[in-house]
Amino acid sequence: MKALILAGGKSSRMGQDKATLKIGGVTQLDRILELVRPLTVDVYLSVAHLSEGPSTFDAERSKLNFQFLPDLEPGPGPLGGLQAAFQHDPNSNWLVIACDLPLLKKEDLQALVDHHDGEKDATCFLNPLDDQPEPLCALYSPTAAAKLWAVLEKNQRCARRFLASLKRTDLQPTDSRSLLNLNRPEHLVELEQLHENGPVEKEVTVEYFAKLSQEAGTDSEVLHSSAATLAGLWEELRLKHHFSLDLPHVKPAVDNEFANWTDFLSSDQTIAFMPPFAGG
Amino acid sequence: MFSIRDTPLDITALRQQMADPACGALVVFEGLVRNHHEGRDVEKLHYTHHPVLAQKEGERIVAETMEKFPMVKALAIHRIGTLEIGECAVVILAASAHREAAFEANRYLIDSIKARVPIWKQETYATGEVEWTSPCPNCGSLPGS
Repeated sequence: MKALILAGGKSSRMGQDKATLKIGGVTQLDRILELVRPLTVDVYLSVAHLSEGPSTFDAERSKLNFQFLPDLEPGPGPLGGLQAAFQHDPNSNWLVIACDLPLLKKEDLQALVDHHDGEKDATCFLNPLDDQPEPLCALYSPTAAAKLWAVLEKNQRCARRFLASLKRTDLQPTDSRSLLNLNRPEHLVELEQLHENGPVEKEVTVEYFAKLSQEAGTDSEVLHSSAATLAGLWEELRLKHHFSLDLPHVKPAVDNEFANWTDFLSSDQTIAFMPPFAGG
Repeated sequence: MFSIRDTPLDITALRQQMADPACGALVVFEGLVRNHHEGRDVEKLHYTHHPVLAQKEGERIVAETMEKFPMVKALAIHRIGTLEIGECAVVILAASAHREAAFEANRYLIDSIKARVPIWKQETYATGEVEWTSPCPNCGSLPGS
């Protein structure tokens, strides 16, 4: 098995800033490398262009044992990384991991390896958010290569749709937040706090209003959470209740006063989550 | 003054409440329940709110208005509960010596209340469907607001 870490491409993928983003002093790329290293020595870093590699990543990382794998053509998205991987070695299993999954655990990657069935095209996780297979943390068999070429020829670039079309083994991640994307500045504060203090359980009352109470099926609930900030709590509840709205369109309040997403959560608070206002 | 009520609004009584011999202008804005929304026939609306925060934020908006327009008297009331077509959902009264300040203060009040006070509406359509007026999934803004 070889591993492909998706770190290149600024817009269609997570962008180099996420690979070099530090939580607790460790970059996301270094963290993923640490998770992957026990599983394989053949680690490749997917980049848009070879020129991007050495200039993008600092000297410390260059002594690590990995190679840069440039896309075969410009702007192909994550599937282009997989295409370059299978071009490089069509007979290997490829473990593909995006490096913006800060809560991914080594047990998750181990599960992909342990449950991999060579008769199938891929082993992957169902994302708890929508129960759909997650393409950017998955193990692909060589049989996936021919199917990949076929979709790329038709100029289909959606990695989710591609994975959905494959013969798969679907797994549940070890934790509902394992596949949390690092895509908002608010999450960074949450992750820094979790890193510094570890998970601390709190008991809070959560109130839902309007559309959110309809989707949650309740006006309020008392629950235990190890989230550090309101943004972390929202992420947990969004997964639990499959809310249709995301953080930018929801307003939080703590103890009957408007609050900020990065405010810390503490026990005995009453947290309100409110959809966009529609008075008048 | 700001308040939230679950009973019909009596505009005549509210006008009397605003009576002031020093005011030469009274601007009254009434937000009414209309019978259509984005091409669909609406039967009625149901308003809900966050009781504590809606009251607090409404009071803050009225206080801000007084600071911005010191010569204005203002009264804003929002309905909650189920409202039929044509009923008044929100009423804003702004009185001042002259019309400019009364118009401006009224506009500031209604715009701020719509944007900042945690109140929501659920629409019942002629088809029997019931939906929360939902924001644009991309920008979060509400249609027609």
